[in-house]
Amino acid sequence: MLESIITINLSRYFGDVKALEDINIKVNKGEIFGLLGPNGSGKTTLIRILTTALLPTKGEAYVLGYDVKKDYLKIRKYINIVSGDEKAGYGVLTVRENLWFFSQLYGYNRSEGWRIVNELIEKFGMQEYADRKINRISHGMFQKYNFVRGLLNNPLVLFLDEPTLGLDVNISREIRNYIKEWIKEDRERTVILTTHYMVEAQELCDRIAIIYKGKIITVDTVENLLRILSKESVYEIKTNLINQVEKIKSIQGVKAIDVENDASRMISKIRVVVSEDSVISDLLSFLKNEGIKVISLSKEEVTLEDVFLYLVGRKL
Amino acid sequence: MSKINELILVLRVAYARAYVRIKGVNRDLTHFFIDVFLPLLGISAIILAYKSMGAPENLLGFAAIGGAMIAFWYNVLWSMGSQLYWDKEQGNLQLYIISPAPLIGILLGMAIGGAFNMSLRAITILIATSLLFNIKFNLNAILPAFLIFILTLFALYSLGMIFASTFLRFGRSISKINELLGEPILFFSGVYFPLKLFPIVIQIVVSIIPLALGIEGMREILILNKTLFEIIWILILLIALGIIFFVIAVKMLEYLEKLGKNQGTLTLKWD
Repeated sequence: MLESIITINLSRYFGDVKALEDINIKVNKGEIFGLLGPNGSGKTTLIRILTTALLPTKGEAYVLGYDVKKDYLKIRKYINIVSGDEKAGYGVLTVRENLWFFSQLYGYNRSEGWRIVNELIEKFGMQEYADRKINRISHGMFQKYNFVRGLLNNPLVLFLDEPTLGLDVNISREIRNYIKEWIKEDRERTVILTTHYMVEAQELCDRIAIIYKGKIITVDTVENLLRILSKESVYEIKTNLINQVEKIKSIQGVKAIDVENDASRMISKIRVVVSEDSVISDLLSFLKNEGIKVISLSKEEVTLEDVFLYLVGRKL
Repeated sequence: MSKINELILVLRVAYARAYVRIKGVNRDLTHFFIDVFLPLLGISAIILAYKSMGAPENLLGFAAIGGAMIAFWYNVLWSMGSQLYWDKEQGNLQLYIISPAPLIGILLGMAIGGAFNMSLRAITILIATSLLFNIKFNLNAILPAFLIFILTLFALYSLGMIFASTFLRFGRSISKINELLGEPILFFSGVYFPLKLFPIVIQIVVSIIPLALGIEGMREILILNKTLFEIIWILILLIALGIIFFVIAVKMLEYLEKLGKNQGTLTLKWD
């Protein structure tokens, strides 16, 4: 079997709220699969269903060929999850003791649990703080501990929910490198990654699903997603503060726009996707007629963020 | 998974969860000092009051045994009852749910760890009161008393598992129930006085409280020198209560896990 995850018309409703609707995805073994979407888009609900913590309202979902509704006990042996804002564990125990505790949830005997924990601590260079209580370690160390905790049962499917949330650049890079190495070690493994950081998604993911309001907008490789805007151009314009976003949107040829206002500096940063370069002159004329001063204008490389803006109509 | 493997997993998980409690709590000995010294002051005050009034010697032993058992009740209410709620808040519960570990193993471990910690404290309190106030316990009957003690813990902590499941369902709002149950149960368990002071109807009603039965049983054996055979009704009731509470706890946990998965409430933080 090539796929580690298959969903068929998967839906989940909470009362009248449609958290997920008709989700159809196939995730291959050996793949890092990204789920991109703003808060409330349904990413976490999808992960909860796939990790057997929540039942779907309708549709089907299979993890490693097992049905999430019927075979959840079989699935649980082969999956794990690491969340960026997670504070799991017991503050009265050390990093090493906490890891051992979590190893016991997977049926290892006591000594086997200690052996696996000690090996992982060494492999991930955590010896220095392995015997410190977890409430005495930094956020970065904690997230590394979390990541190692997620590997304790040598999962075949690892769910990473914002794994680098709030981490500094170096530790984020370190974690990203671990993820890449981990998946390379065994092509039977799969990573499902949700992230707010486009750069992270671009760097790590083989394929990305863009999810919005409970629906999958598109699923493709990063290259193909970037190709969606191959004919369009992206510009960044700095002006004095503006509030004419809707009017700009109505200019013919403007495909997507995002405006960030910096009230303290009285500056607006406009990122705009246009169908062709000539549209930008119409836009500049519009700004001039509205009495808006243009501070700078630059043509930009298309990023995943622009594709997201184009497809969803808002930034992540 | 075969039934044997499932049982082994439950026991491993229970051992690991008990390890957290025992290792974590006893690492810092100030906890032990506070848990022993502060209750000892309260028990001493009662014993001194009894002494000043020239109460019978038996009552001093009654107060010592009752006082030493108080900690178990608070442990069941607060450390068992609310623990799954805190586990949920911290994200531990989500990790329990998505692992193959049965939740009953987690609860069992919490109960064993809590009971072990509290037993160390209770025994220390009993020894201290005995030395301080020259209270004589029937040490020849230590084994039957220990049996009553273990059965009391089984029934009490099974009740704690029910509280834990209830907390899991209703969240923090149910902590009011804990507050409501705290003192009245101690009162009706007769921690500082003999249950026989209650009218017979109340005595019958309180016989569904494991704490009341356990305290009464240990007093009868250790202070009044009765045999196990003479208080066989206490033994039978404790076994029955333990089994009933344990089965209810297991069923409730299964039901709540199903309900939580259907409604999405089990791993979501409370509103």
